[in-house]
Amino acid sequence: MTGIDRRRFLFTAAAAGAGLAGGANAWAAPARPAEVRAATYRALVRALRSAPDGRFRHADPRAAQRRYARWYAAQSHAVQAHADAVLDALSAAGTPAYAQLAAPRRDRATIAAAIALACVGCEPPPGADERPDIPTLEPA
Amino acid sequence: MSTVLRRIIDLGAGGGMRPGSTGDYRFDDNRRYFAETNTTWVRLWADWPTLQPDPARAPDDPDGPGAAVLAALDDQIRAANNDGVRVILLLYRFPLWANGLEALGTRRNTDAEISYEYADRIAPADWARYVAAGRDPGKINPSRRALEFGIPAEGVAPGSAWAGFFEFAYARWHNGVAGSRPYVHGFELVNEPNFQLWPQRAPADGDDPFATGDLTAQGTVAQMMKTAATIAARYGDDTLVFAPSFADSELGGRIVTQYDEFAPRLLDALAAIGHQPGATAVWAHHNYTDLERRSTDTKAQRLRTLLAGRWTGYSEGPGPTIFMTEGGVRLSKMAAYYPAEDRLAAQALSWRLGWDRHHADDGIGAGIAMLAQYTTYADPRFDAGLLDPWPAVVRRPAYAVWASLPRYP
Repeated sequence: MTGIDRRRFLFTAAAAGAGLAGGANAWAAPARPAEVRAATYRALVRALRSAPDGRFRHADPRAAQRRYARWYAAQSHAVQAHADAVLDALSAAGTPAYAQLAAPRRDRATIAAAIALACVGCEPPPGADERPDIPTLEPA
Repeated sequence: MSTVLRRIIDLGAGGGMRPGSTGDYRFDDNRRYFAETNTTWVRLWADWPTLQPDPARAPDDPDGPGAAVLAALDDQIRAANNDGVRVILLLYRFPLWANGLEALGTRRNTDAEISYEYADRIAPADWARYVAAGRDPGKINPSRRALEFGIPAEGVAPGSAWAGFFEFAYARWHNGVAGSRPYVHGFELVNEPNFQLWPQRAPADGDDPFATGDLTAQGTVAQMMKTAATIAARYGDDTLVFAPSFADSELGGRIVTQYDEFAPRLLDALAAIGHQPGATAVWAHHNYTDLERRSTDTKAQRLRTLLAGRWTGYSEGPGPTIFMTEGGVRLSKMAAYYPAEDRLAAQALSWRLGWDRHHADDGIGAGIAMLAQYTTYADPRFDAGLLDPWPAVVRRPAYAVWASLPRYP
């Protein structure tokens, strides 16, 4: 398959100087400062604002990042580690432009997970018992 | 002991909406997890808006916008076929061109979109908070049902766009194509119509827009079942068709209808349109709360009571027979229900107790033919996973429980 897998993810993160020591949990180590992740998050939201259907046109990157930070703080370590790893991988590869978010040719799992994180700050919160979908993005 | 209690893993919408993501059957070690845990069924999602965003281009138009996703879905089904894993393919959502909401789709997250049919999409408390914030989505963006769950005004009868999509799916993947193309063992017509579809109800008398008027959504589901049967008959009726796949949510109001209100009304609606489900029509249901609450008095058996003597579809032994096509144990509920227990241990214990109680021919297990687990890798925003969220590879205690359960075809 062409999507990123765990081994490739680890390779990417290591190549980016993420400081992985190896082992199954190595990816969970703090790889980048929180400030870098916040900047990555804001860049992600800015990219989504280019969606041609205007879905994210009103998204304020700073406000979205604040909402995301509140959500992040309430999550378990496992979920925080997931979120950190996704943002680190996104940062390592260079935050993609909207066209790459809408139709990724590589690192599809990372990008799908990143959009899901962006939705935490930009989209309505899921209601009780609701399983939020990752929105379909119109082609650029 | 029940002779057959199948197990299915629902991989979620991702594999059909964003191939290559964690919900893709081919992703990373997903196939290995199925093999390790002796899981013999998988639920995959065919997202209609993704497969056919343009009504002028069929999903299988090689130059159409859905071609790549269709190819990926074919490949996932083929991989499951090769692994001996049976596929239930869920037909998910309505494109906005099919339900007449395209114009509103260009105004998402604006007051115009949020306010549209708000009483059928938003819980009263969430609406009140939004209004109190000056109807400014920048301050409050209320939780609401997506536009893609709006019931098409044209309905779902033969000749409708939905009927066309179902026929496309049936023709492409029904059991009769086995040996020449990827195929599925079952189609699921709709996901949680008592939770996701809107409107559920007619407007109520009086001034309160949130008051619960007469239930109406059952008519759509009944027509889906009749339309599907009509189309399936043209192709030999050789594949199971699952419905109605109710949510077992304990919420209520205009936007969620409890299964025990919807089920008898659906049976009434089927009778009213003269449709008697046959041997390939399977009653599907979703089951989180019985497992999470470690219930000994289950909603599933309450549902069977409502179906008894009325449901004419697929049955194994003394009917009625119910297949749980989605379910599991959410960590959020473990924290709420069992605050003294470690969440992951509580998830595993809930699964163990749930399995033991359902794996019987009588009592809680009577008439239950399948139990479901929602996802391998946990979805961070709906966490019922067997593993921590990707890219972790940490198998949770529930994984060991799931892997220890017997294999049934």
